[in-house]
Amino acid sequence: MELILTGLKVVCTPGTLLWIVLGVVLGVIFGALPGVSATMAIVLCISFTYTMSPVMGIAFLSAVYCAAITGGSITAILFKIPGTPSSAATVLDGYPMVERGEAGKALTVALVSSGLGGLASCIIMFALTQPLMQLALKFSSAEQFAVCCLGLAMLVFLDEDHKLNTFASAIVGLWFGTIGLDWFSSVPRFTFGSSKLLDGIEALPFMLGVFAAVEIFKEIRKPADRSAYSKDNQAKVDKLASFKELWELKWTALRSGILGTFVGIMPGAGATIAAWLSYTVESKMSKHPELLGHGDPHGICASETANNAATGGAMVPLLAMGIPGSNAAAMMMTALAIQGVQMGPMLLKAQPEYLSATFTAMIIANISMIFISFGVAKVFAQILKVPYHILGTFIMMLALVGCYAYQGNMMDIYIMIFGGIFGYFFKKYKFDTSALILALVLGPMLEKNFRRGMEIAGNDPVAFFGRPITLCIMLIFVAMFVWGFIQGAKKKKKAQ
Amino acid sequence: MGELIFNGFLLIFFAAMLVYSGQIEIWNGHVWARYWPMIILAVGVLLFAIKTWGVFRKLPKEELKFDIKIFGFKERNIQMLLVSFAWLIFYALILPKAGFIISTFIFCVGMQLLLRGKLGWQVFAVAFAITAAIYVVFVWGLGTSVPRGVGPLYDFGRWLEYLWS
Repeated sequence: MELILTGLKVVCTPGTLLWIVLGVVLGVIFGALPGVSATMAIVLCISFTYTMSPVMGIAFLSAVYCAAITGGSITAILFKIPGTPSSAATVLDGYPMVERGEAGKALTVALVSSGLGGLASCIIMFALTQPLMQLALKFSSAEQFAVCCLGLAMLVFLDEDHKLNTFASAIVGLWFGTIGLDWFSSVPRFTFGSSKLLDGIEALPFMLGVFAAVEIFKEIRKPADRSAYSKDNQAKVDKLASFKELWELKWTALRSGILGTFVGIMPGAGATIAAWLSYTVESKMSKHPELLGHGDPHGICASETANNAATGGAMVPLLAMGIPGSNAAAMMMTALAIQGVQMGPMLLKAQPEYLSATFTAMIIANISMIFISFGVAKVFAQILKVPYHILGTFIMMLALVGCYAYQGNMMDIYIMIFGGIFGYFFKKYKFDTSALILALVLGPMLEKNFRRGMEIAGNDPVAFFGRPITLCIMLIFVAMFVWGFIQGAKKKKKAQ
Repeated sequence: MGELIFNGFLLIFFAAMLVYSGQIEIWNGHVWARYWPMIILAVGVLLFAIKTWGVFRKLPKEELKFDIKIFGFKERNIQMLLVSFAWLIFYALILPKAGFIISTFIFCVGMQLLLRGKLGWQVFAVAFAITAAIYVVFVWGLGTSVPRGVGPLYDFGRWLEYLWS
């Protein structure tokens, strides 16, 4: 309770509330724009936080994060094109409702479900984070190393069809994380005599390249068909869903909220997996499964509640253990590290106001997002009429300025350009850029914990891996890898 | 074929880095400074070898013949893509010398044309608007710094920054 009151005290200032509203507006717009993902929205908005106070920065980014996932449902429903991958399931029932003249009802269901999903995950996040932090305080370097390994293993395990590609992508990210001065001995690694590489590959400029620049390159290479967005007769958003109609969705919302939160907690599993899993569960548990996919509000509710619930879930491992549960959480971690906020179990003891600010900002953002999103949806057709050559140029410039403003260093722009060009081919040839980024962020943490743990264990691997919790987690890690590859091999054999 | 070349390139690169990593200094007994990246690179070499072999096996025989045409350099969209890479590098090169305002204006004009914008006064107006908007928000609004350029451009940049304050 004290934590919530502290949070209200630090967040409920005019400046911070204004930034939350702005964050929600920007997040909804970016999330709704096809070609701009929620992850890209966050990474572009990080540039605004450099000169903010930590509380304002946390509040702003939390708002962008929550709202960007929601924004994707607007174009999914109105234009049959998901603004973010996590809203793909919403198209199945959202667009048929629009075709029936129920655009307002579909949007109400989507936006209220998103708000409820986000709120549910905030409550679960609040309940789980503190006990997890207490547990994580008991973890030594060996246990933290094992948890990081498990996080990366989940990435590979969850990708059913391209395990080898995901694993290889993670390895590339891990290697990128070794470039620069060694943390312990200050020996330069893979710098090739250049002083510019001594700081290594900074995650933020690289992310800007991989997420923002790559999308622009893809658009140049193969312009997307935007004729659907220039429709002058966007569906009218007038008749909204009634309270009775929303109340009928209560069990779907509850189920999806809990499922989405726990899926979000798993590193590597994000809003997209949460949305599809929830939709699948809904199809199994629905009293009228034949209606799903033909304009059933339960389908929208399942998808949107879960994808927003995953946002809070992804923050749990980040806040409790300093391990990001998704790319978006990795970006939050990078942005907050710039502000001097050290995510992890010490956050509650050393910087409790930042922890409480995160909870409170997400709660306020989820509530305000419902109302603001309606406003954005009504005028969204006008926003979509902006030609892509203007939008794309603006996004690229925002990314470049964000890069430079980070440290005032031209090297960051070179890293962004490298990230963009390398990321383009990386994605084109079926590698996983999410795994690359997560491994780049987790890699240094993994190495530090491993080496610190080995020093404590006197360089004895048996003493290092023999610790009970470490051993359990590592066995799960190995089992997941082996199981994943066996399944992959079986699938391949079956296909042949 | 492009996938094979990319995977092959990563295989060779990782193998080269694995050999190079043997030169990482071990200072004061910190052996893992060398062996940690070596382990990652070794796993990487193994993975890329498997991937490259897998891609090679799947390719039909007629596609295995190397022909410069596979890169599609004559295709307009690919030419635009390569130009966009070069345009970004050009921006990074002129930015410290010409300063933010001139470099960004020129970059925005070029970027719009690459994104299929039609050459006309609108392109220049939009480039000016984007440059001004970003300058106002980031420099005047948020107080972040941008490159000022050299010589008289530096003085102009400084004057503009302090205009607001």
